[in-house]
Amino acid sequence: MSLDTVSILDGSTFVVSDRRGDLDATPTENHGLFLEDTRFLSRWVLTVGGIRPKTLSVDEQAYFKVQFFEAVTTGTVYVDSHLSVMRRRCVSGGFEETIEIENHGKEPVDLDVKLDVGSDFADLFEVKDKLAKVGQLYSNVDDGTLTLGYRRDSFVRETVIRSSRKGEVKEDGFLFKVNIPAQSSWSVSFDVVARGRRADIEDLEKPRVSSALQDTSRERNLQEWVAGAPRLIATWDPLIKIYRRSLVDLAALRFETGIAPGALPAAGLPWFMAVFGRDSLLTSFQSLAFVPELTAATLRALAILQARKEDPFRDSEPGKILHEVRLGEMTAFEARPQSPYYGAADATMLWLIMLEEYERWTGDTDIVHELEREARAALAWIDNYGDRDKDGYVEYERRQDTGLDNQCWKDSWDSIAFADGTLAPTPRATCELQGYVYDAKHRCARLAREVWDDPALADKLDKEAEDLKRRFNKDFWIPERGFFALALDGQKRKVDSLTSNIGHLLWSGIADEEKAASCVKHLMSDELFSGWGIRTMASSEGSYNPIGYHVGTVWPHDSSFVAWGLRRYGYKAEAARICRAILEAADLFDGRLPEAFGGYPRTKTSYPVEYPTACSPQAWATGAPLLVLRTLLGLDSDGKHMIIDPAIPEPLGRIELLNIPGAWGRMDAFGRALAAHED
Amino acid sequence: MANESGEQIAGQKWHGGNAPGLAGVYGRLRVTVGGKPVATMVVEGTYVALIPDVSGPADATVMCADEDVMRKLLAGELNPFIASMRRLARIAGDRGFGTRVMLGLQVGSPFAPGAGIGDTI
Repeated sequence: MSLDTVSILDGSTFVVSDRRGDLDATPTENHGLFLEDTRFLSRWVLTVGGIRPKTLSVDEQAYFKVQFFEAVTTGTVYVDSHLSVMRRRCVSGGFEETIEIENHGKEPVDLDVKLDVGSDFADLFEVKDKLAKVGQLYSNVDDGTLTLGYRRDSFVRETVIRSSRKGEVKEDGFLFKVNIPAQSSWSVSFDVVARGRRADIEDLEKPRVSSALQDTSRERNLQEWVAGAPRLIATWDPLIKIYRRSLVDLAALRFETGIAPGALPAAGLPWFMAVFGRDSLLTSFQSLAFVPELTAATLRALAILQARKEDPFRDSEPGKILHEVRLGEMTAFEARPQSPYYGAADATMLWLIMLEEYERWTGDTDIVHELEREARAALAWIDNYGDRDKDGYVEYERRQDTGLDNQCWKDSWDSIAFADGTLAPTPRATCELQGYVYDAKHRCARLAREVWDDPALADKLDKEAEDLKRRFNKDFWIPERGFFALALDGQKRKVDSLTSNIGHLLWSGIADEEKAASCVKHLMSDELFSGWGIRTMASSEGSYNPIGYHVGTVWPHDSSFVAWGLRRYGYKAEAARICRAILEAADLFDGRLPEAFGGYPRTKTSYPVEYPTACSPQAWATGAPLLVLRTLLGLDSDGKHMIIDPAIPEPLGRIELLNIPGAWGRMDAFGRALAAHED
Repeated sequence: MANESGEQIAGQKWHGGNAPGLAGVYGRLRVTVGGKPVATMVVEGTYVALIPDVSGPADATVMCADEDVMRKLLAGELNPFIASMRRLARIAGDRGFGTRVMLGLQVGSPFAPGAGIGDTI
């Protein structure tokens, strides 16, 4: 998010304003009140005496509420302002806002306090791609209540605004003629209700609370969330701040689907406050040792929405785990396929991986029984549909033009390219997909053996996984460059770019030991390791661009999984080096890692360079410091006991993580950096 | 439990039958049209039936804007997400169960035209 904006959120409802608190959406300013992928307010501009107050400070009190302190000033430095403005805003199915104006002067003042209001009811895709509306906008005033609305057939969305004081209400806003005596104040409160697709049901099931600004239940919930996570003690002070920031941001991104108990992590603000299979699953993995309840909710919700039939428009095939759900107008009228969309070739394997990882960490075998049917369907999808041409590898290609070109985590159009920069033709079998298949089959073999009582399936899956590993190490290896191909393209050619994807192969365990050693050298080389993290594409490659979304930037989550993979293969020092770099970058981002940042070498800048449109907070960037902590302490589970095997770099000193939840109940882990003579 | 002989519900004759997409799903789903309860769907694994009793307990309710919406949802012809976004239908109560049923009927519904169980819809 831009540094010029202030965002508060709660589930899929969020408000993006400028630093005055105003919403003034333009083609370049994505301000608004958003719910269910629709902008319910695009204009909310305050003037006092004809002047837009000047911001003095912004107090972001919690992820769901904020205070703006402002002065009514003409801008000259020689005249003190006698009028200050405080705006307190809290998001809650819309938002509530109190505007308080204080007259510090010795004389009374007469003022026009005006709030300009409007909504374009834009679908998020329209906001992003600057598209025009099809239906009709309307507004009306009834008994002091302003209703802004949009209708297209039965698709109706409304914003209902009430004020606590009587004023002049028009279809474009509110006007109050105010007299404020000397050294006194005046205030007005607004209740803004966004009425989405379930508004009539929610009126019955969840009547609106009288004052979200006074309600302390969310503060208590946040305190309980943080208190329920392990407690961190660290000698490197920034780590405490980064850890707390991650926990709070994860709390902010919690998203209740209503179809399964609990909340799963939404992908990120502002464009991705929605259910995303891959994002929720990877974030669940990162945060499992800290807040395992996110994983359970994610597994159950995605299971309910698992694809049941073939549908080319939605890239849906039986057994597949979804990519994305959207609820805006363009999806409702099938201009976009996200209802849900299944164009993710990795989510199905990641769901299986998470099911096993969750069971092994928590000991919760019930969920493995509960989701056995879905797990078997997911395994069947890998062989029946994932491997489209029966060459033994999972590959993807969209079925219709509305689908995604790339259905791996690097899902921008230009991410899968040869070393000379030429795009690889589809279908594309990216290397990490094969790693995920290998890992998912081995993990499910254990579940089949130990939980489902199906040794025949277990043996079959283990055999298939080992057969895949043998073939993969032959077919994807590029001997002349000493790393695995990024992908096999539609003509089964090796896509020979050097990318961070090889790090995911270490996480999955598919790489042969000697080939892994060669990959580690590449990962830690100047071409891939920027000094702040692992670049998505090496600087030596034809498509490399340090500010290219998936072709040169550093993604913290990507680096965290690479570090975890290095640990798996025993490269503790290398893993620790990457972990340290990520944490130092997080410190420079004031504890909150963005989705991605520039791939410029650290030797060039003493800070990580921002990527212009990065989401923040973004779920798997928020989860990166958590997986880094797990990596540094070497935390794992054998199903009953927690394994602790720390490898901490010198500057981080000592790390203590207390009350780690798992199959063992709660346990503590300690680690300290070893001095050179102790190593 | 199942209404093997068929009943007149909302002006139509309904039967039970096989819904392969509902394997492993059990429960009762109340169906309302325009706010009025018209039937209860009894789901017992892959066997599903619509009965006229609307007084017994139900795990969830699918609220349909009109009879045509109900017909299309039960036949698996209308994507339940699209129906919800367009305020044509909503699920209340146990939404996980309701969603499973609606998605499950899309795979193969005994209420679909030509499903082989007579003049159901």
